[in-house]
Amino acid sequence: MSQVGPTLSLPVVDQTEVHARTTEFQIIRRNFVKNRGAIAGLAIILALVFTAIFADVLAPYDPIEQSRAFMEPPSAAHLFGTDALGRDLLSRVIYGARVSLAVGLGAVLIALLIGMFVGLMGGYFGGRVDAFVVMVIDTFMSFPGLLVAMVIAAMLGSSLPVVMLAIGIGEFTLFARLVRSVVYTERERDFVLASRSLGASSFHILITHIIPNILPSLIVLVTLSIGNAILSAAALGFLGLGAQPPTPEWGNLVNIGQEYMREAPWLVWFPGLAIVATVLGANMLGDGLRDALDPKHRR
Amino acid sequence: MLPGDPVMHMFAGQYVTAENMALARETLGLDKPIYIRYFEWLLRIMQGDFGTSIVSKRPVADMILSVLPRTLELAVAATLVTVVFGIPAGVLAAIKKNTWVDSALMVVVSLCVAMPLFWFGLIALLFFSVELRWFPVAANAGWSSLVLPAFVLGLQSACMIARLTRSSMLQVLGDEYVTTARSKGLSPWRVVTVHGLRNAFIPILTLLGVQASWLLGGAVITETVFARPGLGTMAVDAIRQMDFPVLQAVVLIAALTYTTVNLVIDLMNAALDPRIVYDTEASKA
Repeated sequence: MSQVGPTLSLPVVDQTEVHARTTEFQIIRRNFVKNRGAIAGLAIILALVFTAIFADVLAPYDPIEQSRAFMEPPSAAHLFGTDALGRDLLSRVIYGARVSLAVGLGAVLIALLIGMFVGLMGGYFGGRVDAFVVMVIDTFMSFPGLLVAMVIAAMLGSSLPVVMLAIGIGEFTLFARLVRSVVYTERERDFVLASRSLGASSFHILITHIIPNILPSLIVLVTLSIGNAILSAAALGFLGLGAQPPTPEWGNLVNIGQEYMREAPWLVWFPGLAIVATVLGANMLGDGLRDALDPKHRR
Repeated sequence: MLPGDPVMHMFAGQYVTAENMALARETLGLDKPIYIRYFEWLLRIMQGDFGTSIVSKRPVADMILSVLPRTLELAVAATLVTVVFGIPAGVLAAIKKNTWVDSALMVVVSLCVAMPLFWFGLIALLFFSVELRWFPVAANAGWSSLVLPAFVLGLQSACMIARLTRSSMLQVLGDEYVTTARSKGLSPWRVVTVHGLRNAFIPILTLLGVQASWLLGGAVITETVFARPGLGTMAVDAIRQMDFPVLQAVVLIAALTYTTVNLVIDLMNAALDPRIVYDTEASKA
């Protein structure tokens, strides 16, 4: 509390606000740091992002270069073994992190943008707009997300942006529903009514009053959705509708590996474990953020 | 040309003239604008006509009917696994809150939710069918070939149900009427099942409904991994060959199943909780 002194020169109202915000942030940070699962999740995700960025430095071999070391079990030279074409599996899994993380983040971003737009419209304008929005959400929810993604990927051809779009469209309903329900309650709050009575435009109210209030829930949902998006991307890759070989992607690595599963089980084990670790990390981080950000979940 | 053009797929690798391609489009009705095709399709569906497959030339309705029982038995068995394992596990974790039983169950749940379904299926196949030989590798060996796919598909949703059951139970067990029931001297079993679970059940049922849609997506994966014929494998084949009449039918069935299951669940919720009323007249009053 040593900064009370220097801030005395500020106007009184501002000072309490600044003060309240720092404490709120401190509470959140303390809750987050206390949570061992959340820290472990953050560490996993940071390590993976690091791996993805520095894949060319970290990978011991070229991920698509073939050699005569066909289907060698894990050894000192090839920690994860090699595949049927003599490619180093560790290097392929490392490069696969790039594709999987990029698709996961990209898909969630698309889902977030579509979901926010749809949800804000419905929740804020209400009435007929909302009825239409609810209908759109219900329609999309009634189709299995994976099936929707499969159809989109097949129709538009399997390139990375298409896979992101396909998964994003399959998952936007979660965001739309969250945003809609929160906006629905927020727009009746006194500070919003006050702002409107001062003549603020709808757009201004959305940006300055409503979006900051749904931010914590959105951050949590984004984090928790990344795991799901990575799982969907891997499923598409497994079905041959995701990233196309020779590009290594965790899903298509398992797909290629399953053919030799009996002789070389490591081809299935390691890419799968990479997916499990990533999704687990994202989920633990998301749970930790939720516990830290949401007062209802605080212990 | 889009990669998803079925006519291009039909003639892939062959020499065809532009006239022949146009003729093929005309016979398939693909030369008409999309909204006309959509309404024509709707009209035929109303009459029970799902069209014919572009690839096999068989009526789509026949194709669907021939595999529907296989997918239904998988879905029902998986749901059974979900309910039988998920709910008791969640209740147990809630009763033993903050003990090693609770922690162990929640670690299992976190791991199992993070697993890709196809990978879990392959590992299960490798371990139980290839190594231990407990279950047949073949998909058409009667009931024994249903066990492993049903467990693979059901366990993951069981984990999600277990997590929800735990939190739902924890909330209910803290309520005053549960304390009252306890102080009346009712047996712990009765308190947990009648006063606890019954009231914690509505979110669980609702999640089961949402998972009906997830289950069909999961069936696509599970059937592919275990090489089981079914709606899922049919959808994958249809997508690969751009056999859109088949695909449309599968997607329609998926949506219809989801809607029906959720309607039933809404009604069950109303039966469980008298406070839920689906009467528009009453809510207007």
